[in-house]
Amino acid sequence: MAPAPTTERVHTPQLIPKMLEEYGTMTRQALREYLPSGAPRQHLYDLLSDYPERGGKMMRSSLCLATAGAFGGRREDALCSAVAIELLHNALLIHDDIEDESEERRGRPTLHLLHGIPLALNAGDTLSLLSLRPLLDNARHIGSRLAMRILKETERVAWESAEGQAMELGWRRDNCNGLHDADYLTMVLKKTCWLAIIHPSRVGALIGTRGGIDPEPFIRFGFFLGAAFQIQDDLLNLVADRRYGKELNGDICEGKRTLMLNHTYREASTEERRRLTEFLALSREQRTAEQVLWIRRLMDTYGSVDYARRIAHGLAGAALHEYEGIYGGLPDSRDKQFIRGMVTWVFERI
Amino acid sequence: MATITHKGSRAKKRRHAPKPTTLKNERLRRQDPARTGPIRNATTYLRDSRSWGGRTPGSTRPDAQKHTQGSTGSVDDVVTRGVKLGYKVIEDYLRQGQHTAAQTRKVSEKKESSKVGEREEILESVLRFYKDMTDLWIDGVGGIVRNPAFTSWLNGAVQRNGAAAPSREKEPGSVNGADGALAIEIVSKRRTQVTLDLRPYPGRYTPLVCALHAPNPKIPPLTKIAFRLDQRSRSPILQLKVPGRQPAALYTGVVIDKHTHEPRGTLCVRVLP
Repeated sequence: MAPAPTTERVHTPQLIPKMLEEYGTMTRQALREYLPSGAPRQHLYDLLSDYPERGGKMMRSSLCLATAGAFGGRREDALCSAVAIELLHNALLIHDDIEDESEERRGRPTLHLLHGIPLALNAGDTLSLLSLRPLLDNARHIGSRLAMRILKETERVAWESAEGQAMELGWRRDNCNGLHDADYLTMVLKKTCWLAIIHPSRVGALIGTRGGIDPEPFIRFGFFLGAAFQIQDDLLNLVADRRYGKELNGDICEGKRTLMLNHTYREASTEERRRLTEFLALSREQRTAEQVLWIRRLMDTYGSVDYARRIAHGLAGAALHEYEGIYGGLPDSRDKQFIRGMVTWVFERI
Repeated sequence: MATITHKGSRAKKRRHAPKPTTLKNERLRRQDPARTGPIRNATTYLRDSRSWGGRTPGSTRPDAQKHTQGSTGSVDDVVTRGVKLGYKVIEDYLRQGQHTAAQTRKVSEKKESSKVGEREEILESVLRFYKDMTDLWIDGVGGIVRNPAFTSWLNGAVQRNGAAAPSREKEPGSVNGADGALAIEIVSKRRTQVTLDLRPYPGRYTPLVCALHAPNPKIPPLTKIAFRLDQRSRSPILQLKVPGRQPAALYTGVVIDKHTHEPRGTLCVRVLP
């Protein structure tokens, strides 16, 4: 019997969780040193440590450390940047949850539901300010010139994220429907890909090469991987699994213009589109569970879930292609395997 | 010539939205493609051919909004379209970024009409940055970097070095690549004052400082001093590292031409207690 054709695989199941744990612990320990512990504890500093202590995947910071390592740098040199990335990420999560009126984050009620919007908003602001401290500390570890470069990179990612979030919020406020997939991908590029993949990769590579690399190719790689990641994230929102840590069908309830919702809208009949438009024009509290379930079934009827999954798989393939262009010539290492493994991991994670 | 209708073909699949129950219970078997070239169907020129011959359950309705991107297709179609669309989005984005960068460069090149002023501005910003850093201290650099002779020397040094071939065209009469922006990197836990004093010199040379010595011969000299050219920004950088246990003192040394060893000036570093 002829041997079955083999496809190149990375050891995703073992390697990725192990390295996420390893790098996540390293970053979390460093991050705790930046969290203030004095007064006003109850109304501010306890809130700052809430989301970081809930145990996120630490994907962004791990990617930064791994990229620095893959390019021959020391992980310790990238640690301040990794901490800054996590702090900024958590700051944006607090604000996102308020803007999206989300109810759960990492398996627990969102910060604004626990403490009210004003305090949560203030905590988000403070956390984003706090993310500047490790960036200033960078100067001691990697030199002022490179530290300044990374500060500029951080300023860029903040802009990109704000623009992406504005696009999505604007669509919802103005009840824009029938959006094209290109609209969705452009929004995801800015809102998700930059902070999740592009920025950690660029910063890690700059540190690993002491500033001697053109960071532009990371935009392509990060876009494809980040978009696949976001689509999978949106898909996970439609399956019941408590480990996911968000409310089931929460995105539908929030009226998020996901790839699935846009596809369903495009495929729907005139009557169905009318009902969809009406639903999306309602405020979150006006939307009923029955309406949400109706839309969820409509997504199945029109194969929108499967459609989005296929798009995500295609984008992941493109990410692998771009990966080869950037990392292909580097010597093999755990860090390199980790980065490649992330492309398949985005579909296996919970 | 009409739309392919045999069971299992791509065209057939395109007309039916996938049914989860079917996918769960039956293994999907796809026949070999019935065609090897594009379908040139006249009925598709004006509108979707499916609307000519009645609808099947689950297919796109005639009243459905038509989009150029199409809708649910075969696995290959959707994946290919997704990847193509992805590349289009990212290439458009990058093109937009390049356009913005080109515009920004045009504006900055216009400003180069007053190059000395710009150099001072850059150096001032470098100075401000260092002064803001908690553990780095620089005093007395301002007077040096504002010296026109010094900025002229910088450009000369860069040209002499030969590594500074500019990648973009320069305005006639303008000096070379670095555009005069000096970066000074000092790694020191202690408060440190730096004074660089250069003689006016018409030629061009590459500077070198071997060591800075304190008056007391028992004090070890400062040796981690280097003038180098940043390969990316083409900017000259003066790098100085003061070890943590370095005694407080005034350290002085001669700046020489790397090739002729002729003295060109002095560099003084005062490490404060």
